[in-house]
Amino acid sequence: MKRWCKVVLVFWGCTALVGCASYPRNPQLAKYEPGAGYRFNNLSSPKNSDSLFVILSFSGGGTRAAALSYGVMEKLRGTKITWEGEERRLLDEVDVISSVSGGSFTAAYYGLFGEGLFEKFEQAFLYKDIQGKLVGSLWSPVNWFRLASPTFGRIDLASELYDREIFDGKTYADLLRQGRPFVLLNATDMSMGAQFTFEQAQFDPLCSDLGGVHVARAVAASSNFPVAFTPLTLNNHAGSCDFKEPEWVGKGIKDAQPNPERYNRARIARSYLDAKERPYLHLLDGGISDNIGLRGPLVALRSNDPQWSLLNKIGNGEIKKLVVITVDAKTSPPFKFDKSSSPPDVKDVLETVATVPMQNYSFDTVELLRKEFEGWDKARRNYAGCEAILHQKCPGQTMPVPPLPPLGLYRVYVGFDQIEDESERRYFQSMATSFHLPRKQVDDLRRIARELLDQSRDFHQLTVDLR
Amino acid sequence: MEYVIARYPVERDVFIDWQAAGKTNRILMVEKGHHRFDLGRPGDYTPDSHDLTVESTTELTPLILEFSPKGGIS
Repeated sequence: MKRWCKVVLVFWGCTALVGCASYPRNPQLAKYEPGAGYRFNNLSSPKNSDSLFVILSFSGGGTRAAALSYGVMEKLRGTKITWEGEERRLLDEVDVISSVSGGSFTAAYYGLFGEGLFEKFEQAFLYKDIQGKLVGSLWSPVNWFRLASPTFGRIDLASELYDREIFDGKTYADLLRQGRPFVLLNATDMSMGAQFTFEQAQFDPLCSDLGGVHVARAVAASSNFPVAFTPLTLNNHAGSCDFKEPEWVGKGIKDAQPNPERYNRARIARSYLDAKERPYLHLLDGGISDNIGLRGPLVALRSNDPQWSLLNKIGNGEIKKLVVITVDAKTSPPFKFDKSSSPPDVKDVLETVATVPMQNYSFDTVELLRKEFEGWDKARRNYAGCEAILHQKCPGQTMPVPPLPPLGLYRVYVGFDQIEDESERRYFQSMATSFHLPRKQVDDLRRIARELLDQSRDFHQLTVDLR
Repeated sequence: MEYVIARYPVERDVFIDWQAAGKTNRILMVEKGHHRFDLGRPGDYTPDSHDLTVESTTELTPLILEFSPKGGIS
């Protein structure tokens, strides 16, 4: 009888574990408020001027990406500038950090803890064997039962681990209280194949309150490497909060001919409104839609639609100098396949299929930014050229249209392919993608980030202009 | 990139698709496509808004949108 009771109790306990295990629901928004929540305009910035606008984008690449972006943050902390008559650090002027995957750990930690990044992040993440802890959590018998639940996956275990070990249970309400920079952690909406950014503007159509979401969950979604983890689930509460679609969506949906890119953004935005068709969303690694974290800032640079549109800020005279620093931890292993006449095996082929399109897309994204800046610069030079000809041919005449507002543009790229020494370049380009790297590699990544900034022509010019 | 100037006798805010995007009589950078332009509150100007497609402009030949005070210029 006693043995029978024990069996029943164990069976009941296991069933309860399976039944109780579920992902944490993203909270429902009681009422849509377009001015509330985690948005750029709601972030206080007592020490940060708007006129010098600095954007950082951090790529994916596990601890390699986190350490490289951390090295950049260290360099910005040590870079003294003078702006509007006040001496400060360039780090204090960072307005936006847009990140993906490994880079999201650095971005989120700085957003939540500010200077604490330089005091605790090394021990909390960079030198910690997070990979080992993730694998270890899979060996816990309790987790076997939890993972048997259809609504609890490996990404939820990872999210719990990050929450406990790195982010101290902090939520987006805590991130909002910290003020600037505006941290954009990017994942990928699996059904739309589109970037999904953890900001209230993205959660509005879902009628969900981002303030109640743990930051660790956003970082987990952003670094949700396919197959290794399960997709991260969000609930779509659309239709329950009197959400009013932003004007641009209705306009953009008419733009299939003149501007397919805008039409596509509008089409994706509308897809979240149908909670019957899409009661849930499933998120994968942000790297699948943009492995360099630059697409969001690019849209803000090219469009009046985002709430933090840079076009609008420039039009309103808020920005005098615009700086974009792209931190790219992309690797490029040596020609290992081409040393043998045998075709590469299935694992190598799958790895190539999984990574090469992402790298090519990142390259194109960086090029788009370069061309955008060149276009802006060219428009100003065209105007100045015409004005010079007018003054030469018709002295005393003025241009029939006003000039574009003056704007200083600085585009800085930090990537291993900028390393001049070939053996050193190969060393960094061959580093593994993992959540655990040897201490020496982490230290080398921090060092090379500082050195690459030092040798960047635009970064040098920026520091000269800001003396 | 497209270029637009909203003309009005005095300086006022210009809203593109309900977001503050610049000032009147200055050149604005605008994404190609359908947009609504207005001058916000008070609504003492005409027309209430311009709803149109912005394309094929340059920094030297921007689209000019005319607004005027209701009842004419005093």
